[in-house]
Amino acid sequence: MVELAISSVRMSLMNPIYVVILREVNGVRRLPIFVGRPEGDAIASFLNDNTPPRPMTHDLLADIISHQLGAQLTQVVITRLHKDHFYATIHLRDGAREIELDARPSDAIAVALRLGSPIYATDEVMEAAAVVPPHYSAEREESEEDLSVFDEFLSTLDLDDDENQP
Amino acid sequence: MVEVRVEDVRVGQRGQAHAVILKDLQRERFLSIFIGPAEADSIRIQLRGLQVPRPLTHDLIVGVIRSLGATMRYVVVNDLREDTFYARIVLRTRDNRELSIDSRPSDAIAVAVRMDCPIFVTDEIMDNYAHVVTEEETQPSSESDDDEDLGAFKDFLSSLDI
Repeated sequence: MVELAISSVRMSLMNPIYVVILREVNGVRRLPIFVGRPEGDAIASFLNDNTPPRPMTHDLLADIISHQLGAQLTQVVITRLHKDHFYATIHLRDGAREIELDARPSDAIAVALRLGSPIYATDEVMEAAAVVPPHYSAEREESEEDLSVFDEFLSTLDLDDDENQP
Repeated sequence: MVEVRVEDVRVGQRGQAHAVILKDLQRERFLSIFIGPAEADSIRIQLRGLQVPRPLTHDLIVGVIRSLGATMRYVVVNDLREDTFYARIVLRTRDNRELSIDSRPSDAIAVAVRMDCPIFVTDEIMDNYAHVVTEEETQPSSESDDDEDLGAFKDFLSSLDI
């Protein structure tokens, strides 16, 4: 498992598509994940310190887990990539019990940020979908070929900009 | 408190504004609340029994509540301040404590329809803001049977500036 932090959230001006760029805490790889607009907003608004006048859906989720029902969000994990969809789990500790729930990565990330919980991805996910920003790797690896379309899109993004960290 | 059910989720002609329409279970009156597009989709998906490949955020909330041993008692739309409706989600914890959680009505309703729990609106809000369907409006029109029942409702909806 690899611990990740949010590098940035990018929005397409043409489509209602957001890309969340996660970066490896102890490495150089980046993991880009496409997310829906409301979830992208939920992540971006938290990073931008925008406090909405009313609790948004992920604020409610975080409130229920932590403040109301007294559980701990111990971690969230991006577990696998299947047919272009990332899968994730959120992990709760309820007294002595450990609970694992299926979630979309976007929801998992949005709630992890709010509760200050670590975000992980499995090695399998990193191998399948992580990219190394160009200036870190002079030689492109062959395994990246099948991600070429994805790479092309990513190359249009400025992945080196880590200044918008939480 | 007045018990209501979700009559429908409507979208404005330009696809910008969404409203959830709540119907008084006892009387012909309706309360419409403007909500965001994501919450509207979430309520609509549940009402129509559509299958989604991955859990939506409200499904995750339901999963969290259930897995932590709490039960939903009800949700209530209980306040309106500066054009914003407020709601509470009322849970009972495993150790029988009752929790009342601040929420937007859209989230409260999206969770309620998934957990099949009652939805209430305070008398004060219904009395002041519900649209009452009058006798005149319920007169049968020449439209088909199906449409008759909805005639007044449609008139009401067409009067909305969404």
